[in-house]
Order: sequence, then structure tokens, then C-alpha cells
Amino acid sequence: MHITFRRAAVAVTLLAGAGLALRPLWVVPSDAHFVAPHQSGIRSFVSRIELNSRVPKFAIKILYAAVPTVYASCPACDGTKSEPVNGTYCAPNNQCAEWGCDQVGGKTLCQTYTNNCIVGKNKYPCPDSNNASCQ
Amino acid sequence: MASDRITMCTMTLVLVCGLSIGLIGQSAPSIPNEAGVQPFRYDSAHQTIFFGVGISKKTSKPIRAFNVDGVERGAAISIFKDFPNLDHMVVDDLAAGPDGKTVIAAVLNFGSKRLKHVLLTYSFSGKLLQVWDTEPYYVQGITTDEAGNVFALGNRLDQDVNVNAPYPLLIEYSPTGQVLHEALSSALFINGPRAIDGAQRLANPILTLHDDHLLIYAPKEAEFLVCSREGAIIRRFSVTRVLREIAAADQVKSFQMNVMLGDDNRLVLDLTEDVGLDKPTIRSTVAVDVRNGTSKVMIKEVTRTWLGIGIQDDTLLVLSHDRKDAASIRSYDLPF
Repeated sequence: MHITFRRAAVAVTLLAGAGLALRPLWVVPSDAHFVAPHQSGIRSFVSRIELNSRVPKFAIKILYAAVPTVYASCPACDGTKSEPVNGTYCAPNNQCAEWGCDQVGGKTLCQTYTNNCIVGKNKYPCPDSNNASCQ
Repeated sequence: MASDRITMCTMTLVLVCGLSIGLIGQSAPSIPNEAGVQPFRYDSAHQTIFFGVGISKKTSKPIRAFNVDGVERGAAISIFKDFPNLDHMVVDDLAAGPDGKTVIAAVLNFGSKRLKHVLLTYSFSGKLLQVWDTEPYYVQGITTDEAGNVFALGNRLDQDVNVNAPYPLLIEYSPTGQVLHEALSSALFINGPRAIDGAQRLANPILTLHDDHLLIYAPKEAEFLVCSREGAIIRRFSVTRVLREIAAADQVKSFQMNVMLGDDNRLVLDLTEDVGLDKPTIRSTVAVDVRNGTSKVMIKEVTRTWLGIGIQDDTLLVLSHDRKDAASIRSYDLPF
């Protein structure tokens, strides 16, 4: 009787643990409506899970082992190179970017991914503050 | 009779003086510095200025929107509160939707090469309503219609630029994120799918809706397109010739450019002209009539304290940093 009770307690604990471990996999950030219109099946499912910030990274890595993620064709964006490849850097949006300054909203901004400003033929380090103007 | 004339003249003078004082007394709409001193995008379809475009980190200011009369539109939006594990993000474009909603095209970076290319919809009160994963599309420009449909200009992340078959660059999504329509084949451009990429110093991609037409600026192609809502091209205009003329006239070594779209017929180029290392940079604002290709320099100066916002009706709106506590929204009449 005592042994049966202990087994039951262990079983309940394991089930509860499994439930806690699985629960976040089914939650999308806040209660927002989620859709992946260009994807289907497992990729859509993985995308939904990845956007859930409560899912641990190792779980995402395991899932992506089966469903490789989509990356830009920029060779500088393969995650191993910090130097330019064919004259381009990997921008934060995962796109190739040439040397120069970001032009955002009519304002020339320091490139945080190269830490340089280029105006005309001059290249100089970015100012200290993020998104600082080069001029 | 003479006294009547004098009375009339006096009244006219008083009226004119009164009007002048009234005009002088009118202060331009303004944006407080805590919101206005950061990169912005202008949604010309809904005359809304969004502050907070570009790279953002957890410490960055939230996204804030203002109407062109200076009134704040809805609550500030903090994307980081909805994605606590977000490392940083790039907001590429924003658009005002119906009922005070805001649609945001962003790349969410969770670190360790974990990126998500998404369209996010926020309510007027700043609550996250929808998450659309647009991959394999990377959306760079968005606009919305009165029904809440979202038009997106983007290219695919999974295609080799030089090898793969052409594909549509313009997608219309329903208010719930279903693909309604695809158009604007990449085969229509010399630069293929990269036509709509930002060209670094030569402007960002733009997509906006005006009188049932979609207006597009494709930076790599240096081309302005007027399309039907279905994406059929009605007019296309290359700004290259205008730039060459300005370059020749001012002996420009290189340009930085911001493009502002108004309607089917007009656009404005806001140029920073590098004319040589030993000479001051020239800032010039040029209006272009795309019907006949004529251009007219509106403003030309060496130092400038304002940034072009966009075109509203027959005026160019600018954000002028001429006050200590706020930026003023001022306007210039367009020449045509």
C-alpha cells in the first residue's frame, strides 16, 4: 500500500513536470492572433513556438534541426564572419549591406554593425550613442 | 464721404494687422523632444509620423506616433514587453490602420542567429493584437487601406538573387493575415528582387496608398512606380536623370537622398550633396513633376536644421529642430 502510494506520487510529479515543460510550447506571446501565411505544417508550428519567448533555446535548436530556418543569401550573414565578404557586411536585418551610413528617415545614422560612418571619402568611428547621427 | 473712406481704410488696416498678428501668433504643430529626436517614417496615406524606425534595443525609446497637427496618435508601443527574450530588432516600416491600429514591419532578433521577420499589429492602446510571420518574405515597406488590408513590399530571404525564377514583390494580406493577392514580379526590374532594397545612401523603399493607387519607390532601381491596387504598373519614372542633372549643375561627387512621395504626379527629393572634401555639403530639396520629368529646386542651403517628413496635399512637411524642447512641423508650398 505504502509502495503504491509512493509510485502514484512519483507518477503525479512526473506528469506535472511534463505538463509544465510542455505548456509553454503552446503559448503565443500575449494572446495575439498568430499566422504564418507563407508557411505550412511543421514550419508554421515551429515559427509559432519560436516566437514564444518562454520556450528555451535548446528546444528551438532541436526543432530547427528538423526544420532549417530561413536565412538571407548574404554570405556575410553566416554567423562566422565579422569581416566583409565581397565588400558587404551583414546588417542587423540579416541583409547584405555595403559600406556607408544608414539613411533612415532622411537622417544619416551611424552603422551600429560596422561601427563606422562614411561621409564622402571620410571614414570615422561612430559617435558613442546608439543610432547617433553621423553629421 | 471722405470720413467714410478714412473709416473704411482704418477698418481694413485693423483687419490686416489683426490677421497678421493672428498668423504670427499661430504656432506650428510640434513634437516633444523625448519622442521626436529619433528616426521616423511618414505614412502619407494616413498622414501619421512614426518615431522609432531602425535599430532598437531594450533601452531604446518606445515607438510613438503623431498626426501632422502634432497630436499624439494612440499609446506608445513597446515591442520588447511582448517578446521578453528579444535581443534587438530592426523596424523597417510602420503604417496606421483603421480604429487607431498600427502595423509594424520588423525583424526580431533573439540572438544566436534566431531572427523572425514579422508584421505586428498593435491596438490604439498599445496592445499586441496580431503576429504574422512573413518568412520567407522580408517586408521592407507597408501600407494599409480603409478596410484594414495590408499591402507589403518585400523580397524573399530564401532565393538566390541571380539564379531563381522571378517572384512577386507585392503582397496584399487580409486584416487577419491571409494572402489575398500577389503582384509586381521581380522580372519587371533590372535589379530583379533587389530593386526594392534600400540603397544605403540613396533612400529607403516606400509603399503608400493614394487615391486607390499604390505608390512605390524602389531605391536600388531608383524608380518611382504608380500601380493599381492589384499591382499593375500604371506609370514608372526613373529619378536617375534628375540626379544626373543636379550632379552636373552642382558638381556633386556623391549624394545622400531621402524621397518623399505625394501623388501620382509628384515627388520630392531631399538631397545631401557631397561636392568635395574641402567644400561644405549642400542640402537641396527638389520637387519633380513625373508627368514630364521637370524638376525645380525648392530650397538650397549649406546648413539645415530640418528633415523632410513628406508631402501633404500641395505642401512639403518638414520637421524643424528649431526649438530647445520640441521639433516643429513646418510646411513649404510645392511649386507644381
